[in-house]
Amino acid sequence: MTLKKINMALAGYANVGKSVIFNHLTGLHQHIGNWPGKTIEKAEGTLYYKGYTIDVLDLPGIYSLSTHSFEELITREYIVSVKPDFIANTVDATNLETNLILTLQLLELEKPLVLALNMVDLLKRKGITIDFEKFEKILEIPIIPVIATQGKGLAEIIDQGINLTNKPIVPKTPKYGKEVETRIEQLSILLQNIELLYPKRFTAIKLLEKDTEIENLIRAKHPEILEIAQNLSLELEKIHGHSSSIVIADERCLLASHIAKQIRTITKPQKASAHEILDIITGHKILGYPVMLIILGLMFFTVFKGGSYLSSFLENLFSTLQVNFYSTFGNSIYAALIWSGIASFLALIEIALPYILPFYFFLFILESVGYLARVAFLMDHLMHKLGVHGKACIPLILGFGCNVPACLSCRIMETERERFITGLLTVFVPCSAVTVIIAGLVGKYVGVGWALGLYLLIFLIIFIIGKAAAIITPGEPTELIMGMPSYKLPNMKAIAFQTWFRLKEFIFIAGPIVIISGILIEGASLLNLLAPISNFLSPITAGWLGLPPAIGILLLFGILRKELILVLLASILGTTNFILVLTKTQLLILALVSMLYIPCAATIAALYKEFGWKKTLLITFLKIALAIIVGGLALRVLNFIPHLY
Amino acid sequence: MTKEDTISLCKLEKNQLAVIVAITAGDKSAKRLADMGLTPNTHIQILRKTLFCGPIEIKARESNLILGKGLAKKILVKKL
Repeated sequence: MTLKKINMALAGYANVGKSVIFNHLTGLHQHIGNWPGKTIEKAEGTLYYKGYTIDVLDLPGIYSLSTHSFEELITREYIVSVKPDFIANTVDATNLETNLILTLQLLELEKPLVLALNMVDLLKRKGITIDFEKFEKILEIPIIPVIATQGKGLAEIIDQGINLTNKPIVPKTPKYGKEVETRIEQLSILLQNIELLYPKRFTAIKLLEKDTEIENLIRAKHPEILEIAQNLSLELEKIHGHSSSIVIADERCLLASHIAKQIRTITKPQKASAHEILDIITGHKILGYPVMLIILGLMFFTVFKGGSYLSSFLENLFSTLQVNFYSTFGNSIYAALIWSGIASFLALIEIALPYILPFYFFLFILESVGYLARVAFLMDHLMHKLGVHGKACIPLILGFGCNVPACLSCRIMETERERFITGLLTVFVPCSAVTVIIAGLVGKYVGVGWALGLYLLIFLIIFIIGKAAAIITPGEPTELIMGMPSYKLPNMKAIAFQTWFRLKEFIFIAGPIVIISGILIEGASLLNLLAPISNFLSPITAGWLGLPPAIGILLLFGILRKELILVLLASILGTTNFILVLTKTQLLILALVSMLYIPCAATIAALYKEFGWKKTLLITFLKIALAIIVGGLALRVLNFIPHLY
Repeated sequence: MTKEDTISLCKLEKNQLAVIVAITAGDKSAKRLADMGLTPNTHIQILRKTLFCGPIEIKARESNLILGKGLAKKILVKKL
């Protein structure tokens, strides 16, 4: 009997074209979400092919099936517990040997496997030829040459997958050297009658590798087997002189190398191509930096210059909407409440379309051509001073434009720890709205030097927070270790899909948050609660920070959009010449507090999407606390020095 | 092989060929390196270095890898 519904999973290294294949297969039928309880992206989609409904899951990019990261754990747990009908292991044909190390581990999971050998078009350029038939004979699984960017070979993957689904073949597991093999067999026999989530052989190997998750599974029910496994590991360690986990990894490397040697011949690569020249310049230890500044600068200015143009266009469009809304529904309280909800959502669109959309687009292009890896390489040293590694500079740079896409881009960091620290630092980067406030309050009335001073102060704060977070945040700091992909042309269709589905998902998540906060603040205003609230806050705003009590209202509206602080200040004070009403010290403190306090509603939504509620609340409270502490201290320092300005 | 021949990966110049002798990192980092194909006896070549002794790009098992300075320091190699 043939199945009509098929579950397929894409697994493989990062940067091997998995997401290009995924986007080609699923097109508009995809859904981007998170893995339950984790902030790791889960991309699912559906393909209708020859009467079959094929659910495709793009597993996270990983380098092994150990448990160095959640991504690796998710991958192996998914494969053994959900049991997809077949797995398509995407492999970079030009990096066959290292990719094979992962393939060998996937074989050990004993699920039907198809090997999608991607980027075969680049083989010639690199002077590599692969004997596909021999390769198939050795691994005994279907091997399909693929050029994902051109959509070539994808139908064969599915055809082979359908064959495997209708007639499942459990692949042959790789065999290692005798010393290791006898110990695996010994453990497999002991595990014979035990109910296990993972295959027996895989469990035995992982026990010898001292995999903590598998050890815990066995410890709970069969501590005696764990003890035997530990003794066997010790024996291996005595023979080889290093950890048994390295012994087994080494066996895999040897096997991968052995297989690669049999099927692959390398001749002299063709003369330096445009790709290689590009690679030499963009990764150069001196030239690389100005080139990076130009590329990232261009991206920054295109997104934010173009964005501000489109944004003001949308703003004008929406303000006519507002007029029409009130003329249709009248000026009732309900109309005002409903409009505030709509206005907040429109404000979100004013960020999403002009800024997040082009930003995602550029980010995916940089990622898929392989440039992000060069940035990580060049910036690693500097970023280490902030407690994170090289890739973190992308979110931090973006933060100067808008914190929202910056927070969303934290997904490029590999581990939860790195992602969190980067996110935490990102929300302290003064975005364009904060820059407007600093320029409008401090640059204009107190002096440009003072405005720059504020920037220096925030950089110092970011530096201190980075150092502190690196110490406090649990888990090991991750040293940079990643594959350096060769440059390749991006697949625009895949990038368009990637951009669109992530933008859509963000609007879905952020929409309710900004609408509710908009209605709450409008409601408070309609109930005349704003004055009592700012009175309630006055011990802090007036007493501790030395600002006029009415500023409390501004700070509330600033949660919706930071620029409102400047706009509303004029209407509250009744003048745009702020220096008539506020002292220079007050202007400085107000700018400082606006810069530090609570992230705006859209940023909070982005934080929530990337980090979950707990961490979002933590970051938000940290920002508020820092604004109060630093603002108050700054006031006292400024008051202490006479004739300052 | 004498002890003097063994140096940290960081110390190698660009284009130098070498073979990994030992990895002195902790178990977890050593396992991560091994999972990516960097085990003792693996042949490597330095492809690129950055200023200020930052990360290093190497070629190992036909693929290009970037290693942070902290990790590169803990890989002991012998020049070939």
